[in-house]
Amino acid sequence: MSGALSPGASDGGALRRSVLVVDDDRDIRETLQELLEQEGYLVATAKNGLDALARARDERPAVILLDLFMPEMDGMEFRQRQLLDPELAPIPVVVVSAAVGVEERVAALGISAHLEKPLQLERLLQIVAAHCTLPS
Amino acid sequence: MKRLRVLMVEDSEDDAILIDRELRRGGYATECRRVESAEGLRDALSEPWDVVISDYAMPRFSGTEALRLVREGGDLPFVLVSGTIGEENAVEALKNGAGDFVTKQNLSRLVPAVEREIADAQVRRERRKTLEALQLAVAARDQFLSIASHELKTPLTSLQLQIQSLQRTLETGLTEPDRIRQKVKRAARSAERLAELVNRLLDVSRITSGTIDLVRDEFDLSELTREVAGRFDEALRESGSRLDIFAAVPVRGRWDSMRIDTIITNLVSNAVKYGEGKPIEVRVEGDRERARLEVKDRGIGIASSDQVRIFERFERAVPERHYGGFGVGLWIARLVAEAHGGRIRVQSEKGVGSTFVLELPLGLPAAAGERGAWP
Repeated sequence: MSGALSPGASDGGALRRSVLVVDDDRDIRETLQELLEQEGYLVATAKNGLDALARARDERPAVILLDLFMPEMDGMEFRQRQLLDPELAPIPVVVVSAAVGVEERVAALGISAHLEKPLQLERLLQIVAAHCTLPS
Repeated sequence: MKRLRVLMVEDSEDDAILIDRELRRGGYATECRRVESAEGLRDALSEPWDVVISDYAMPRFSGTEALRLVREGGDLPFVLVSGTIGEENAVEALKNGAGDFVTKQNLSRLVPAVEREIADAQVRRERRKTLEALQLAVAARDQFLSIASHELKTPLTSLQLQIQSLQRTLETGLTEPDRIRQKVKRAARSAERLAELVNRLLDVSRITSGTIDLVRDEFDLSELTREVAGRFDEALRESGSRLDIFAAVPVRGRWDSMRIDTIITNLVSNAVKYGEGKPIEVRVEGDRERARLEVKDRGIGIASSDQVRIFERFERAVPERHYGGFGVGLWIARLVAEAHGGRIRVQSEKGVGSTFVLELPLGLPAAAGERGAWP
């Protein structure tokens, strides 16, 4: 299926400056959204893995910030399903989680970075910027 | 006469009779079975025994091998009785876990040896039990700590992001008051959440380490319930559940209002969390002796096999950590209900929903008096 691309998607630049924030905590979702929008990114949010799959299809973000423990569908399952979908599989994922002792499981997910909560904003912005300026 | 179930590993019937006679002389009503091979021993070990008395050297079997087989099945008292065992072999057998050895020439030592080995095995069993309980407690505490740190980090992350973002906003010089107000508001809310979590953590450790001291005041449970439910407006909007409150009639009693507040909060919060956006009903009723609070959801429900477990510490019916919280809410609710002389229970069906019922004696001097726990 071909999800609707966001406006300006034909313009490579706009497309690459979009971020999908996946977190079950509303405060964190909204804070990250606001912060990233302030930096000029297009931001979509999702509150669990299932929601995120739909949003990723619709928005085709340049990068996905993924929490791990969420109800209904957790981050691990989201990543597995994402990789099974040829259209979503190439989107890089940055795990953002407060979970302890999950390093091995996260490493097995084949993601591009793992940030631990609490977050360093500068570090997060650097990583997001790096993913959004990668040559397509 | 004390009953003693004796499993003998002995090739000589005569020796077995001698051993049995010695035990009977020592005041035991013995029930003996004699085996002389590995197969025989394996078969016999499926029955309960008080002690295994084994020969050392047998034509088809050995005491060493018998000891190994017995130890595979657990820590059964084991005493070697032999005419031929040398000192070296005896030491080796003791090292491998035999309780004692007695020579056939000196059978008068048999009864004290058996008695001591049985007492020792009892001590070893108790020690193992204590150790297992301690290991479980440590594992539970470790799990709780990792959940607690995860739960604390979530509002902390939000708080920290807000502050960092405020810093950035102020550095740019673009200080729009509305935007800053919004960020400060959210930061304050995160700080409140943190404070609340820390309070609950303290409560857990207080409850774990001792009894619950109740601070009783007379108040109206209906009013408190309406007040608590009012705090869920935002959460309800987000989850999509409708909350209907049936608490029009005052139900007054003497209870610990802060702790009852915690219970109601916990029950309503669970109903919102696991209610799948379907309607929730909260009901308060009372008669001359007791108050009854009911919280009913139509969500994921709880399998009957989990319905007792959820009232234990650090337990929840859903997979670990997919839902927020410490996993102690219902445990605390149960302890607090019981401290009031009341009880809490659940009726639930998987996929249909759950109804939690809290019942509290009114605790008023005019009533029939303080009642004990329900039967």
